[in-house]
Amino acid sequence: MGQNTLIHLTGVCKSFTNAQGESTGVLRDVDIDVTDGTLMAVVGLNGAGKTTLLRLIAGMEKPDAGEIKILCESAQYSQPTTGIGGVSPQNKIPSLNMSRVPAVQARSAEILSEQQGVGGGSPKLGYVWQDYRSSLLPWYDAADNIALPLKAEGMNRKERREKAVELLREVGEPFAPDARIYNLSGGQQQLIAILRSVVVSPDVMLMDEPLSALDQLRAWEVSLLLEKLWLKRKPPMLFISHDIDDAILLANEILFVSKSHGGVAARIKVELPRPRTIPMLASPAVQEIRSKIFALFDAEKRLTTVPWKGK
Amino acid sequence: MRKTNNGLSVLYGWLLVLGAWAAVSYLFKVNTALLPAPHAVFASLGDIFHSNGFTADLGSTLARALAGYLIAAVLGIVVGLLLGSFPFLYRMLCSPLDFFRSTPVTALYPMFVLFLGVQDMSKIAMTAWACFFVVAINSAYGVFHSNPVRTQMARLYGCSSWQTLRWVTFYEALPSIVVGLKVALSYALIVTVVCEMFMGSHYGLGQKINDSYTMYDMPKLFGYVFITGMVGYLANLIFAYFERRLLPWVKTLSSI
Repeated sequence: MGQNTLIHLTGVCKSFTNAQGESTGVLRDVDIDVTDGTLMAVVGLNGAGKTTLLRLIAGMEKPDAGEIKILCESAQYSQPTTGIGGVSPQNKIPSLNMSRVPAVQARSAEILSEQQGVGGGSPKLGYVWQDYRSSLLPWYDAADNIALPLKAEGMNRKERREKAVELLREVGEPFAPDARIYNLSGGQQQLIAILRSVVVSPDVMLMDEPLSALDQLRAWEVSLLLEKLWLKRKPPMLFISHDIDDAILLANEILFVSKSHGGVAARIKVELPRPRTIPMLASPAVQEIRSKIFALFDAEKRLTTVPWKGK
Repeated sequence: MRKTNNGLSVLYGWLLVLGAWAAVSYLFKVNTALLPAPHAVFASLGDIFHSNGFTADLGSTLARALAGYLIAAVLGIVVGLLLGSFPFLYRMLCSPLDFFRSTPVTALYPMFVLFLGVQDMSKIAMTAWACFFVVAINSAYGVFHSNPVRTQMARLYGCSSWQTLRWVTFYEALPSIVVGLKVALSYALIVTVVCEMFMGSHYGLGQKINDSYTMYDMPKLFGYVFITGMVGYLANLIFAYFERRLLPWVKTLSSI
């Protein structure tokens, strides 16, 4: 089994301070390893820390304690993992990509900002924001939005638009490549955000509720589409879902993030053959997984002392 | 508001203004040395259009206003984006900037004349000065109010700071920049005309307003005021036309 990418979290803690100065712990002592071939659904209550977990992995948030590493063979440089801001062009050792030694990447907000734009220096991330609408650029058309990561890589306009059109064709061309973002429906905009996240063949796929704007049928369709895109290279993928069936249909592992535990409460395997089909959701195996998840939610209800809306 | 009635409503508005003016001057017989009658002003407009220097008057006022405006627009956008991108720079400079923005440029008139003389240079400089601050401050605000998710997105997908500024932040700030440019457009005409009136110049609408005033030629004075107003009005219309095409993704654009 060729293991190219590994997401490694050890003892990660993260808390936020609100306007009143009270600190609320979201994640306490989280240890997770995610490797190639893992398609992980992240489920849990609102405020359990699902989005925080994804943002931490993406380097958009810095952990209070603990370590987050993305070990990636395809990244061309090895960088010291200690210290922030210790990244200078001099200590980047090129051409490690030929050896079988995985390059080590420590990711934090500061380092991310320094690494980006160097070119090939860090693992490529695909990210779909929960607020997908705000993450699109309405002054560009659909194809230019999808191709933005390629533009940052320096690919010329004709080539990168061809790539975007190719991707659109793969999903049945639901709208024209030169469609204006503000004329598209929420679901179509979300699809653009998804296609943008896979246009560079990412080493890691992170999706924050990528199906939230879709009706049930479309959600299943896009789930199966995501599976198809994922199956090409099987990079580690984490996606947040509020729909248990979506989670089961797409994932091979379900991560239950608990509010009361302050972190991961359970990991549930989903052992169904790929490619998945919608009728599989009616199988007894799936029913069993469902009841496990229901039990977890039920426990959460009894253990969570903080009511849904503040105090 | 229904669009079909728009043209007609505008016409009614003008008829109302004209009617009120005609009523005051024909029915109440107001002193024509203070308020000239509509027909006298229309006649003077004809004279003005056929006079020798009219194109030169209109041309020099437009050239001065436009020169000052364009200088201010370019400098203002660049400085504003810089201020927006480097908060420490803004914190340091926002107070002096606000001070100079709030100081009427006309109060600085003596300084401009002393440093730059009474020719075109100081008129353009005063125009640029007045326009610069409003463009710069609005551009900076535009950057401050840009959506952090978009910037984050650009960084995550590997855009450099410079690329993020060009592909994301600039467009995010654009609606606010446009507001600044729009306000500055009226400033440009005001300051240019005031400068022409007080500094004097060979040609220029402000000069002609002042000339008509000193000679108590009220119909001509009104004629030039009307033309100057029309220039400002048309400039705004042209601006609004391009504004809509420049920012098609901004749905709630004020049309003021």
